[in-house]
Amino acid sequence: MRGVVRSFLVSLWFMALTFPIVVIKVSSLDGSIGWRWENAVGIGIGVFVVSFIWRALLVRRGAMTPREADLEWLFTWLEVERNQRIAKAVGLFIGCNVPVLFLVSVGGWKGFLTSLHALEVGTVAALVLAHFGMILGGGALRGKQRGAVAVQWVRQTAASPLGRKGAVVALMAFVLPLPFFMDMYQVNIISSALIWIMLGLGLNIVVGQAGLLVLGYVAFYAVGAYTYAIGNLHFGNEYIGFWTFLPIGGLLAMLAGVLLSFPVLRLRGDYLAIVTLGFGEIVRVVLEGGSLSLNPILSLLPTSVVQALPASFQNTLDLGGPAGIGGIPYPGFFGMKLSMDDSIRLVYFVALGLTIITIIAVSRLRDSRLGRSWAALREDEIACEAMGINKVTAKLSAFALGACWAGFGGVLFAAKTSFINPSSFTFMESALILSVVVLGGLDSIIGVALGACVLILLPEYLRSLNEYRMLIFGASMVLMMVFRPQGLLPAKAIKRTMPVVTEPPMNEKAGAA
Amino acid sequence: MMQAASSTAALPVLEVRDLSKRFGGLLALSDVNLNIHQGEVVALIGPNGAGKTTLFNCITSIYTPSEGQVVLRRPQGEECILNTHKPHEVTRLGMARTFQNIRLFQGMTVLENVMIARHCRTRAGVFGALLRPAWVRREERAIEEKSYTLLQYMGLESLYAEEARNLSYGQQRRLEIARALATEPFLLLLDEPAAGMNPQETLELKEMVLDIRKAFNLSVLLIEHDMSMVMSLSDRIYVMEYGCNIASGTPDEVRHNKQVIKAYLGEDDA
Ligand SMILES: Nc1ncnc2c1ncn2[C@@H]1O[C@H](COP(=O)(O)OP(=O)(O)OP(=O)(O)O)[C@@H](O)[C@H]1O
Ligand SMILES: [Mg+2]
Repeated sequence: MRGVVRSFLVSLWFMALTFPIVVIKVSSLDGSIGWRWENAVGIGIGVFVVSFIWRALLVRRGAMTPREADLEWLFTWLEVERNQRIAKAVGLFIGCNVPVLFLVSVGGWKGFLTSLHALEVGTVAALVLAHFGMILGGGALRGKQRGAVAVQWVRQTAASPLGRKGAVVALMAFVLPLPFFMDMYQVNIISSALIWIMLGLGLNIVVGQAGLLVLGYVAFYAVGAYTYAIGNLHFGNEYIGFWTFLPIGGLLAMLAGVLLSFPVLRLRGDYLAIVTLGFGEIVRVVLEGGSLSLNPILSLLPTSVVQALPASFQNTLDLGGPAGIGGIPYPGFFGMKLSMDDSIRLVYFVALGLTIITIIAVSRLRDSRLGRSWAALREDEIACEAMGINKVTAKLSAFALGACWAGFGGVLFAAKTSFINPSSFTFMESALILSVVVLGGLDSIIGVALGACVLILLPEYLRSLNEYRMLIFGASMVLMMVFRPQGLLPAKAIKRTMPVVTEPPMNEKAGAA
Repeated sequence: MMQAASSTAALPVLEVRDLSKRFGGLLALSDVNLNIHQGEVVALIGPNGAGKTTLFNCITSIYTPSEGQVVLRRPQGEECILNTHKPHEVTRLGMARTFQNIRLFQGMTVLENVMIARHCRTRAGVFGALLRPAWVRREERAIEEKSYTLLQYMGLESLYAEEARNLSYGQQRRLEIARALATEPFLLLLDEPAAGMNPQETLELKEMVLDIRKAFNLSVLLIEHDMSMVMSLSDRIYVMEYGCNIASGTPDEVRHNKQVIKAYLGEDDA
């Protein structure tokens, strides 16, 4: 009898866990919501039966007391310790349901309803996420204690190269078809999140890897965006477009980075932060001013070159002022004429591609001679120099590379929004990028990516809490600093396996005396 | 001592000429002279605040001397006046140092600490890092292996993946030496390497310094307060007080020098 009651409770629990997925059915035609209670009943009965048999088997085999058997089943493969049960149950429930609600709330119900595919993808994604939610929920509550098969499994997968490859393949299989199932509003949001991952990783080079606190990072982003906007205005045609301006934007931002780094080479910490903050503001003010006299630059060029430039380019450079610059085209695709939706999808894929390139580049940089020199600079400037590292080169390269990625991001941003104005490049943006890096974990690539997703996607999905957004944002940053100053996913040292080297260390020089 | 006879003929590898360093009104070094010959272990001693570390900082160009010259003669024969050099250039020229207040890269692993020091002997740049051509991969592998070998030499290889801050004091000091050796110096400056070590560790350190000198064929200049170590280890000793040289010579000469006894024991004992 006791077993029946317990199994009944277990089945109730499972119905609660799976409720959002199996019961709520949203019709894609008229947006009405259907309640499929019969599914819940089905699940309940199924779980009841399986649970009952499972219990009986476990108890018969004497592996557990009846009570333990319940809990074993309740938490699937997570081994549970007594005092953690309630916490874990709550964790599981949240882990199971939050991702679902989260996905459902993407752009409100409406946005979610626009296609049947969205619902299906959403359900699959929710199942996957719920799975991970359970694993993480269990793991997080469990802490470092023995057990948690699932967590171990995740760890092992992450540790083995094959597992990591598998995870990458799975992730790609998830993100590649995404824009064909989601509506364009969401694709755009994800594209921005990707751009922010790039920005975060770019800033991470400067702040996380080289330890130089830069507060005006958005200036480089602006350089990239305006390069495309202005360049398109003056030179844009069917051949010269996004793909031309992408590298140019990166290069110009890099140049801006180098220019900025000269005056700040001697500065450290707070002073560096203040100067770079000023730089960011100067760039924004210049953009708001609306025009830039080109005469000083043009006077350096030979007349023939100046005359060859378009007339609109000959005296002052129009920056658009507070009104900004519009009509920026989407990226081209081998001269094909793309529909609006396809263009948005293309932006998504370009953002995805650039993000992947960025991740590869940044992780390679991190594990390189240059990356180590940045780390040394961050850890101890005097010791760094004593190791034969040129401080100036290290700082310059960090600034240049960090800025370069902001430039790429800026060009892409301009292409995505097709309209830019100075209000996209305020100090708030700089602060937000910095928060992405700090929240995710300084110098941690996955951390920064996660930070960007959290900080960019969450506010999008919490639009209903609009007035409280900054409040929540500020509060969560304070809480982070108090409870987890190293970030969500702090950086880990690069794993190296050392061979058994047996040769004597006294290299070529030995015996020369 | 054994080298003294042969090396007096050759020019010293390091020559400090009438070096002075002023911090505002404070004359931390005044007309300091010092020579080190190839293969020598030279000790620099003196009471606290005598200016020993300041001299190290001037030699390695961390400070710019107010007056005087620091001349480095490389084994290849060229002669460099270091006053105008940057610290990293000095390291590249072949002089490495450790710090009195340990300056490891605390947040990085033991191996990476040594790998960083290979910086000045390797050459991969931005494109090398991004594109990773075969030669860069080979270079990286070589950096790892060389660093690991040095760790083995200093007896730290089992700790290679440990964060530097987790090492014991003595281990940290040894890691600093390993790191300095990784820059392939011909002159090694050690600032109080035995500070904080127990007698046993100090004894091992002494053997290690002598061994390093032989194995890596270098000259050593060390600051040390542990007199028994200094006396048994060094070929020659320089004594400083209030920023001035007050004596120099073999351990025996220094031991019996009146001024040195006075500086260490106070006026009454003179
Ligand atoms: N950067 C600096 N600015 C001002 N004064 C300094 C500086 N560095 C050292 N000094 C002063 O120079 C003097 C010599 O200091 P130094 O550190 O060279 O002594 P030391 O011989 O190494 O002593 P110890 O045995 O305690 O290490 C001290 O009076 C110190 O206060
Ligand atoms: Mg000192």
